[in-house]
Amino acid sequence: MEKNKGNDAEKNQTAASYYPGCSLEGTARAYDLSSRAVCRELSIDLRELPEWSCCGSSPALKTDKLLSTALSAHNLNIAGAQPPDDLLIPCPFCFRRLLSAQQEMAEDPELKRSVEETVEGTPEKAVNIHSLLGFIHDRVGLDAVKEKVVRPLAGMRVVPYYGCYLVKPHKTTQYDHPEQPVSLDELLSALGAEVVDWDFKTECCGAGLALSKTDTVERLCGRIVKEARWKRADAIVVACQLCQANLEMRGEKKGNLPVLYFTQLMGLALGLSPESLGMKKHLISPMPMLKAKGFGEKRPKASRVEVGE
Amino acid sequence: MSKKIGVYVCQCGTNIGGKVDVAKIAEEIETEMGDVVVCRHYKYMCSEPGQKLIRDDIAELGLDCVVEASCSPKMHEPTFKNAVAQAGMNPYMFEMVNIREHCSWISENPDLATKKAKDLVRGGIARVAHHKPLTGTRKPVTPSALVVGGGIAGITAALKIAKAGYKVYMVEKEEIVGGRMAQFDKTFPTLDCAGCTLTPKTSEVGRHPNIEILTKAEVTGVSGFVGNFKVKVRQQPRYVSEEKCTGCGDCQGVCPIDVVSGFEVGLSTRHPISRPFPQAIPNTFSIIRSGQPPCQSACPAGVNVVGYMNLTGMGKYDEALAMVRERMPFAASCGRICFHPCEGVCKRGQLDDPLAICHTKRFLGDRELAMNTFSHPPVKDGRAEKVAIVGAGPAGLSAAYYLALEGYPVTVYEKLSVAGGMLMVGIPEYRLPKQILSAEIENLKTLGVEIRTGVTFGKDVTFESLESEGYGSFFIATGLHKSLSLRIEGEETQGVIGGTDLLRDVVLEQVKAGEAGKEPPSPAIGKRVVVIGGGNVAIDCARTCARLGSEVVLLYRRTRAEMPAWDIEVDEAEKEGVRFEFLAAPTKVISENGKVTGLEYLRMELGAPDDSGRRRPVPMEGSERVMDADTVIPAIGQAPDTSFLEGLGLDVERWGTIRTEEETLVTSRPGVFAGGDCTLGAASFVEAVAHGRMAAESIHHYLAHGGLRPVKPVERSVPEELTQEERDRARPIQKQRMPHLSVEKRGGNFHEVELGFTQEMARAEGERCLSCSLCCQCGECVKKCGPGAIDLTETEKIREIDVGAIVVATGIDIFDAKKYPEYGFGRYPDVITNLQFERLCNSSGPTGGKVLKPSDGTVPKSIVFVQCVGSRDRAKGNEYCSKVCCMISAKQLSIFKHFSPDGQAYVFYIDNRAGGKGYEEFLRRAIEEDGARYIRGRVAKIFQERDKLVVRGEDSLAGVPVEVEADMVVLATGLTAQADYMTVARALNLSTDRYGFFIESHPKLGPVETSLSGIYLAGGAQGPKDIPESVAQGGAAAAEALSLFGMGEVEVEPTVAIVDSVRCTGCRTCVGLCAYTAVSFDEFTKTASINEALCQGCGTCAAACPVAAIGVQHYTPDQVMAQIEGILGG
Amino acid sequence: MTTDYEPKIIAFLCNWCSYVAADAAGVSRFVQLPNVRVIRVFCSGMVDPGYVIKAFAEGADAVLVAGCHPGDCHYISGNIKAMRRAALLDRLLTEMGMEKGRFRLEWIAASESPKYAEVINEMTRSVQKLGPFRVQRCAG
Repeated sequence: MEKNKGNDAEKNQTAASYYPGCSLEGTARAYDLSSRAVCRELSIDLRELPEWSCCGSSPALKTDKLLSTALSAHNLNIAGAQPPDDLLIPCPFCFRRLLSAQQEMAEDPELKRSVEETVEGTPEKAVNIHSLLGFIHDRVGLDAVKEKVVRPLAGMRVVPYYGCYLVKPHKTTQYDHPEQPVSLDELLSALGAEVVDWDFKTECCGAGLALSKTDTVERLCGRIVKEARWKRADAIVVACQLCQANLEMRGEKKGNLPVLYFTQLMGLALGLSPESLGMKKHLISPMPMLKAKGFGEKRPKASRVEVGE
Repeated sequence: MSKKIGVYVCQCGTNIGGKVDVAKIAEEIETEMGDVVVCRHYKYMCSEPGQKLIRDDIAELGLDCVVEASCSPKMHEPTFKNAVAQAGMNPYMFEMVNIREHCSWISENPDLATKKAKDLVRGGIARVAHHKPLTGTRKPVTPSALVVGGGIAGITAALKIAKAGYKVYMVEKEEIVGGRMAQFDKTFPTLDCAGCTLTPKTSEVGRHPNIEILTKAEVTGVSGFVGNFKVKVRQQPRYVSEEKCTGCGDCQGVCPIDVVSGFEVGLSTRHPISRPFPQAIPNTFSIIRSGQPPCQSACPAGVNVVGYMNLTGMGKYDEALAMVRERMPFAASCGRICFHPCEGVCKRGQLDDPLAICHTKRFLGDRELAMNTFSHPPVKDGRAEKVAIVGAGPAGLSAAYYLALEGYPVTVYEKLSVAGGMLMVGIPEYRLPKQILSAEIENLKTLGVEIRTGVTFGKDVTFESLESEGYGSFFIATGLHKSLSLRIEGEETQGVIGGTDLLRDVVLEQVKAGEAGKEPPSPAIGKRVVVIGGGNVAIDCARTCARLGSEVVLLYRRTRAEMPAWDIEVDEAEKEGVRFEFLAAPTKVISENGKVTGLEYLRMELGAPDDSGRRRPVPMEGSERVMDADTVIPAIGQAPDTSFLEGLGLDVERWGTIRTEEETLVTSRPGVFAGGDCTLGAASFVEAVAHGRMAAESIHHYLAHGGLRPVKPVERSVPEELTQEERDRARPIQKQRMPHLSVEKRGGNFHEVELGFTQEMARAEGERCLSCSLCCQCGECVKKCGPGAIDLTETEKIREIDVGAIVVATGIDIFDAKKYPEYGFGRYPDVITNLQFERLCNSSGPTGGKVLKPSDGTVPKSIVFVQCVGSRDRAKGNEYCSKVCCMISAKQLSIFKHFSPDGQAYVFYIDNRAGGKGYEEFLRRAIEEDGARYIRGRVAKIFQERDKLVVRGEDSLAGVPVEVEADMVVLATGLTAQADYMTVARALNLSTDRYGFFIESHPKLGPVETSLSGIYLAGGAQGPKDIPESVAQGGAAAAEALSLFGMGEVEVEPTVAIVDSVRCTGCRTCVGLCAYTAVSFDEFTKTASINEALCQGCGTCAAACPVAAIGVQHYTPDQVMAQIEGILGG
Repeated sequence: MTTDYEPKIIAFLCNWCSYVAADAAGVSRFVQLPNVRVIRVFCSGMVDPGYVIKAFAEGADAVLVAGCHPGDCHYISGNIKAMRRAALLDRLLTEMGMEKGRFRLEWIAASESPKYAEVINEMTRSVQKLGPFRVQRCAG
């Protein structure tokens, strides 16, 4: 049923609001680039929120609930003022924060009132907040994605890594299974990749402790990357820039196992060049692996290939 | 006159006295209430001194009635009734008031509690004043017992009762007795083998002359009362005779089906015919079958699809064909043209695609034709009575076939020059090649069936003429051959040809030409053909004309969606160049000098749905158009040839079809049966065959025994939902696609379009069958069984048993570990439940008693036991403690240690509960001698890292997270109530607690009794317990039953309804209300009357009586009204 | 609304389900407001509408009839009869001007002792809100 929706969404150009969040403007340019590129290919017309501000995730979240909620509310008001009903957010932290804020205000009128006083305004409409992955998987639909694939990721062994905020807490995200998520697996196989099942999909990467408790993060990430290598994966695929950074920087040093955004691989499969997907912006360069798999610089003249039939 | 009432208020230590001021109550009552001559309070009224108080007062003060205010009547009413009875008072002059459970225990404010208690006491006093002395009737006890459940508790109870010399019926749901204990390996704390202790008991049960075991049986209902129960038991067939089966096991080798073994808890598979283990009781084999599979139920002819598909899967094609032939003589033809409702309902369709049943059947038929060696069941000894069959269509020929097999001389009379009916002249060559059909018909003749073509019944021969020739019975199957007319202008013009007529002519020409060995002349159709209609016949006509080189337009008044023709047919027609005009209805045939030149038609639009559920087409005014045509072929349906039927003098239906009785097909004329289209109207080939066979049976019965054949019971059907077990069982094989003749090759000829399956394809399809009925009744075991012990035609039995006592020992189930997804049960083969571990240790288990990893069969070095899976966990599992798991894990780890001494065991536990004789010592040994590492804390997650399982939990004593690597994880799954506890509870009227365990009459004093006297509990059905406790309860339940038998008689409470015939107006309101038909209307006195034996005293009648003429004794309106006054009067 | 006012509630409990539940609630010490007075009957189908009327006439502020769940009746279908009667009775009482909530029919199985306690407390509170019961008698 979702799929049908997807097909409709795919046929005619759909517009959606877009909230990149701070990291995607800084360390995670690759995620931003590839997200925008992929949406273009899927004929999703992204309308970036004008004047968007911080979503209110840590540190605000830790220190001041009103402040962090108000920050989210501010952005929600901007989104509410734009025509699209859907708001797409690649960053799981921003996704979770805006979603929680929306829910908390709905449940707690007291909070709602004080927040609206703080930001001086109420949203013109309540937008539907999606993680980018969720929107592509549920709304665009795997069938629609398959149709667009021109360069199936055949022969690429990948392990999907979800991290926490994308699916947890389930009460908030209402997305996929909190312990055994599958949506990223399904998307990647739709792209023709060889998806390897493993048990580290939602193991913690250490998140924000990277600076304060570096050794912990290194222990956690090291373990995740080791397992991925033992599974003979060509890459770890993530949907979160913090996971990406931790796994790349604090994972196993010698391994040089690329850690890629799902949007980057998606872009490849849809026929875009590695360059345009920020493949060159990685600390662990995926280029050797990509070349080895036949996804070098130049985009070959590939005719449309049916996959997964 | 006022009564002398004694009132006694119990303090129940502080239970009541601590909250309710009993002294105050006693004092006030005595002063306020006139009838009360004495009111005392005492610490423990139920104690002997307390009872003595009452007895003495009755004697000294001459009390008329007694009110006792204390605990719940469910607790001590009998005690006090006895007490007053001992003092010579009628026990029904006593009333008990509950001021403990309903007052002191649940109230906070002492003053309000006291007030409440006093009100209740006042109610009791007011009520008792209206009590009357009553005496119950005495009924003899039926000295036999029913034991529900054949586990260790049930076995113990059964043996004790049987040994005392009384008859015992043991009802067991499974094929064998022994219950859970039969699955265990060793038992704690002695580590002696469960089998060695159990099997002597089970075999004793099996041998004991006083015990009758009913396996695969369930109690469906009970009526009557203590000492006189009537129990209904439904028993599924074993299919293998316990008398004849020698237990040799030859049957197993040939059984094609493998299903997950419930007894081995999924660790291995079993055949539907099997015996769980060699010492099982009953010691014979039996067959499990879940019912009639949907395909077979959907097939009008009732062909055993699952059977022949599985035989095909085994490569046993001859056997498969024979199975088809039991109900369908024309495999090759049926495989081509059947509308196969079987495939629509095939359960594999819920998984991927339904089986290609029809194509497989066709392969079987073609294979035989190709080999040209036909096998039939042996023809029975010749019989004298001759049978005449009118019409050589599918119905007639099938009847002929099955009658011939019965040994009857059969003659078939056919009007046309060819046999085969519509199959021959109604279905074009390219769908059903004539030589296939002819071959199958020839095949019939080899059985001595005589077919006389070109003979018109009613003209050339008649009932009379044939009867005079000695025909004893007739089967009329003349079909439908007239095309329905369009009822439009110009229909009789030359160039308008009925659909069926066209098809028939084409065929007859072809046949004639074929015989003469030259090309058939093209029939009288022109270049531009218009076919009218949306059914298969219309499509057949269109495709036929296309083949004959005409350009064809098909006119249909609805849209493609509403077309009754099959999609595949429509698609093929389109491919072959047929043009479709939808939403168009003909209005006039246009002609010039007697020849068709065109067709005028109207545009239609779809309106509201008609009663067929399809939207009714409505003409659009003034949308008339004309299309050129030189041939118009109406194919809108067939009609019976009424003129012919009237000639027969048989009753006919409104549509002119012959009237028959559905089950037997008998007509209004004795000895004459009818079937197929001439009774059904335009129906399908397979329905016709079904009728043919049915008719054959009826005729055989009519001629052999006279009269009509009895109608057989229908087997229950299998559950529709596809189960997980079936999903796992399904072999990963793709559906085989039927190869087609390419479109280019079709023009100008009638070559068959569907090219047929290869042997490999057919076999693959056979292997795709899930055998959702479990046993597929392929009959292989029957053939193999030396002593002939197997009878697949057995049906379920309903038995009614009279017993005096019932012991309910239905046992426990195991908690479903899948409810903890983070533990990965079902995801990792090496994460197993403790019951599965029992099977691994058990020498008759899947590994022959070796503790091996299910994943790779190696010996695990380290095993982690996870306690309290589903127990003591409000969030996910059950709140209660399952009581046995701590000991089970201790036992299992020491078994593991004995098996591999260098192995290491870990246990994640919450507390160790080792209450029981020798239990704690045993647990200590497990820790100290077997060196098990006990870690106190719950497990958070079990996951796979590299090739190891990692158990992540916390050590709550050290307060740190821990991770343990394990080769195998054993989940100590808790005990739960049986999944079907509710059906048992309903059948026996038992009450259950919120977990589904049956409630005993009292937690301390009535552990095996229930609120229903004569029904007792034993074992896990009442709550989690270990073997010794279950055995003890079994014994206790037996003792209850035996003491009942010992009494020989029971007093039946006099609390039944009585009618005051003076007040009764005879309105009969009550009569209809009684669920036990105990109330009837006495025509003589014109009043209601009660049958005391039937009355259960529910009082529904009393409540409904408009003049309060009916009351339940001891619950009469004046008593209740008085109680209300009393309570509210204070 | 006065909470110090203590209404009187009559509860007709069937012997096989609801009375057992009430006992169990006692055994588990589920605290209940002290306003309910229990009358034990064999079956909810035994409760004559007359009893209910009588209770109100005698000054009860509310009446509860509780029996086994439909399908679980110890007497096959007595509770169904009770259900039919209750509907009619409720209409009658309403016509007499009685507020909703003073008369209630509940299904409480033997296993549902917590539910029993809840029903008792919840009903008591709502009746406390309604205040004492007085039938509006029409003039003349």
